[in-house]
Amino acid sequence: MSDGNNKYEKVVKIIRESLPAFPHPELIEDAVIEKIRTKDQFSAGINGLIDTAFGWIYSGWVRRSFIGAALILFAVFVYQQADLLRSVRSLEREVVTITHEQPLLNVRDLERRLTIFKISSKIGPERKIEINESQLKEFMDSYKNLELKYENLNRMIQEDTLLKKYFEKKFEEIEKNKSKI
Amino acid sequence: MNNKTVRLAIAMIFICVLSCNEPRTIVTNIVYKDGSIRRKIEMKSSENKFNVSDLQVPFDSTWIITDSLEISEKGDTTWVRRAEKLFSGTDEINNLYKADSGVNKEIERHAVFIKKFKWFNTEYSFMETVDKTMKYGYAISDFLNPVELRWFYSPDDIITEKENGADSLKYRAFNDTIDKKTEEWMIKCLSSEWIHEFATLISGKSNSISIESLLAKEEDLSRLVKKSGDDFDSLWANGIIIRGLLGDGDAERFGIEADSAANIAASRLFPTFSDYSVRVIMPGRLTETNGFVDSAGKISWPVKSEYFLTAPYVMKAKSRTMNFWAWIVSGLFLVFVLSGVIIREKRKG
Repeated sequence: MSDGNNKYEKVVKIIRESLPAFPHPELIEDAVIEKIRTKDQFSAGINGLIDTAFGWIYSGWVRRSFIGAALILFAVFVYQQADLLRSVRSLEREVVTITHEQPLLNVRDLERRLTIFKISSKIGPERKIEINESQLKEFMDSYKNLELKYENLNRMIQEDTLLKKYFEKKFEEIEKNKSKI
Repeated sequence: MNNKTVRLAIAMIFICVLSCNEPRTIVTNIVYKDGSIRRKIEMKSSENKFNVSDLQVPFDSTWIITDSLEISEKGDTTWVRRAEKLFSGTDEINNLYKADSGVNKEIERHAVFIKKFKWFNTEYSFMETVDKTMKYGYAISDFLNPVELRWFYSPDDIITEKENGADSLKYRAFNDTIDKKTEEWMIKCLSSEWIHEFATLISGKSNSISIESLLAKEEDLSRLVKKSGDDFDSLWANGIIIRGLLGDGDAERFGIEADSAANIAASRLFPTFSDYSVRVIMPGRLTETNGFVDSAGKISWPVKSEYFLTAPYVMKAKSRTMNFWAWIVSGLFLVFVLSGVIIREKRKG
């Protein structure tokens, strides 16, 4: 290692003593100056760009306006998103399950409407009847009563097979008689 | 009111309420960002009869119409007619309502679409309004509290479900309370309407009764109507109610006007109207509505005559869509300003 160093130093010494001359020393000088100038230009370009883009930071009112606008924009964003979130959460609490697709009448209303419809449909357009409220009420009550009795009777027939057969047989006989006529 | 008039009024009400030719109808509005609306009407009926005069919501031959048939497990047949059309805006829908010749033609209805640009979001509002029928009635909110109001405006299937589900007794009692309050409200509205119309009809006549003195009798009239219950018809026809309210002389003198005012008030309280449902599907995320929202984000409203007696019935929905370009622009601007502030601080240092 020390041998190597010695050799190197010897060579350098010989070269120094021989005083080598540079044929065109101005070339290297120009090259160095050019290199430094280019580097300065690039750096000046970036600085120029930054100065152009951020020139407003030196103007007080522009700077304040930009900062103000940015803060307002941020505040609007926060407010809008919070409002949206609040609205959506409040709606989620109100979600209901709608099972049926069509509007239905409630049972009581339906019963009343159906009953009156059944009555009204029996009255032809050319016929006129005059009844008072109490008569209508009485009629509706007896109609309901009759309907209930019919339902009970029907259920009894359905539940009793013998009774059901009896009625079916009777109905068949009636139908046969009808066709004969 | 004489017997014939009362009967005619009741018959008219029955015709309006009972007509079973009217199909069960659901109107679906699919609202797009540009304000165009795809409107779908689904009508279901037990008969294959969809007469224009029976339809709750108008449509014409320019719509795409499809008919189908549904047979239930029990063997019941349901006829279904579907109509669909894309409208460029609410103006076209409003024109259609103006030209309506269906069962609800007497009721004023109109739709509004509003689009608001709010930088980060765009807000869309869709409203469909049914105008009120009464001129002098009271607001239902004077009689029902917010919870009761919510119940009052609920679709029937939700009410039925609650009445038949858990806590059914509680809900039935609650419904009864609301029924009673609603009845009271309707009687008050009827009284108020009758008094104002009666005052208008008799104004300018000799020995006329002032509106102030009639208004002072509004409570009495409401009480008489409520008390008479099922016998109201006969009591009115015999002039008992009007004599009790105005006295024999005035009742005799203004009998015709009293009947006319009663007819007007009754026709406003029971307008010719067939119920249906409205649904809306909004663009973007739903943010606000006074309707009923299901888990799929569909909003629905039942439309019944009692909803728009004394105040317009407004079905409204709001939604928002995000403007991603505005987010990017705003983000870049914030970074730009922040960089400027940092550069300045560095150069100062």
